[in-house]
Amino acid sequence: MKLLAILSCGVLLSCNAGNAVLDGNVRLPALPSGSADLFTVVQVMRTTDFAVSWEGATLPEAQALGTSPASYEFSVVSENTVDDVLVKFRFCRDEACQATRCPAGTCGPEALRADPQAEIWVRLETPLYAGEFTEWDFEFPAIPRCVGGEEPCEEITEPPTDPRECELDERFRDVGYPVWSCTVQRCDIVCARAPGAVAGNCDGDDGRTGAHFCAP
Amino acid sequence: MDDRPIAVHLTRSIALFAFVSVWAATHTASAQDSDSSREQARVEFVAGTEAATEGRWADSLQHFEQAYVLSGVPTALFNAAMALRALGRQRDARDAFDRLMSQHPDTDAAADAHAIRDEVAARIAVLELTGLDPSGDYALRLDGQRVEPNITTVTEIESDPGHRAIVAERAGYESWAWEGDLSDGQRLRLDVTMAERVTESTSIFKSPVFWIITGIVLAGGAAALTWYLVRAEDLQPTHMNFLVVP
Repeated sequence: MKLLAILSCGVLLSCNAGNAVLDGNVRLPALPSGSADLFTVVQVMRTTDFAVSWEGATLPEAQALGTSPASYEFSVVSENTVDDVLVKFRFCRDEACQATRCPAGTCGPEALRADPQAEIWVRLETPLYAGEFTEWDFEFPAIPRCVGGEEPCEEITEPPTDPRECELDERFRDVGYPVWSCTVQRCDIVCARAPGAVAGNCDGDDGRTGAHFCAP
Repeated sequence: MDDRPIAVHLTRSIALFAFVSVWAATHTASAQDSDSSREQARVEFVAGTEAATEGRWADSLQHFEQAYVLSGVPTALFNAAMALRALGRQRDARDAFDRLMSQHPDTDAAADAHAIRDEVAARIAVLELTGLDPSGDYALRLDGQRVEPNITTVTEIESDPGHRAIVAERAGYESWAWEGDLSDGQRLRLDVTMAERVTESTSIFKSPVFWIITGIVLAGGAAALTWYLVRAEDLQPTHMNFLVVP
């Protein structure tokens, strides 16, 4: 009976947390005029460093930028409701984000990696709550680009003021392609069970402070 | 042990045996095998007589029995019965005398046997067993030897005097046993009470192994059920395009 109690307790303790689901709905921009085809490849991770390769973190579906803005939808499932979630939007020539370029017109072993063409890094502040569906809606009016389009990329375009959460990330000089980084506050994450705050999804007067509506 | 009757009779027996042998020889002279058997019977008879004279009753019994088998001479059977008597085997001695008187009724040996037979029979003790179920299937052993009396309300089992032991067994019952001394001609009544055997419960519920295994199975089942229920309550992704992150 003692064994039974221990096992049951262990099982219950380990399962009490449950999981959480974040549904993302991101409005992608249209393909810039004059640009070659670009695919949006999305990665989700909990690492604290965007400027490294995220292996095994890619969502199944890549989406080509079209002639007009389009939505990209995805879900994130996790039992970790404590840490932030990092999302990396990669804009690539290749659907797998593996495009290369060939110096001197040859494409041999010396081919250089060309993808990604640009990235937008998004930090979602504690967007997951146990047993709750949350929603994150966002829009990218544009994608970061090198000014002048020449390499090496010494200067990149500024992010639009709306959404206000994004900024030019100087680490673009390290990675070699244009990067914006954005931070989404926890109160900008919608609690699907209790939506409809005045200005946010927290129980403070302004909707942007206090406990999240999805918090237990 | 009074040896005089047998000693007297043995002297006569040898003479009788010689007479019988001569008589048999005149009637079966053509049978070479019979001649050989008669000679062997004579040798056995003489050996039995010598053994009896020396008090070696077990040896003499064997020789007389063999002599009787080979010759059919009633004197040999008489002497075998006497040897049995000397050995204390009263029941066997009585039976041998009875056989002698029934199979050789008109012989001197049979005439001599009457009185001795009654004296031997009077020495036989009897155990009277009560309490046996006439419809029951018993296994009765007297001194380890199986006996099969007619089971009645009072079941009689003959026994030689002396220290004896009897055991009664019946399927589904505890065995019953008695051990004690029987004097010459004693009749002893014994009440046989056999308690119904209480089968030792082999219930699996008394096995600690059973409970250990049951505990493990229940714990596993509880774990699986809990896991299933919790998993069943897990939220499912809204979109097919999803990723599970640690």
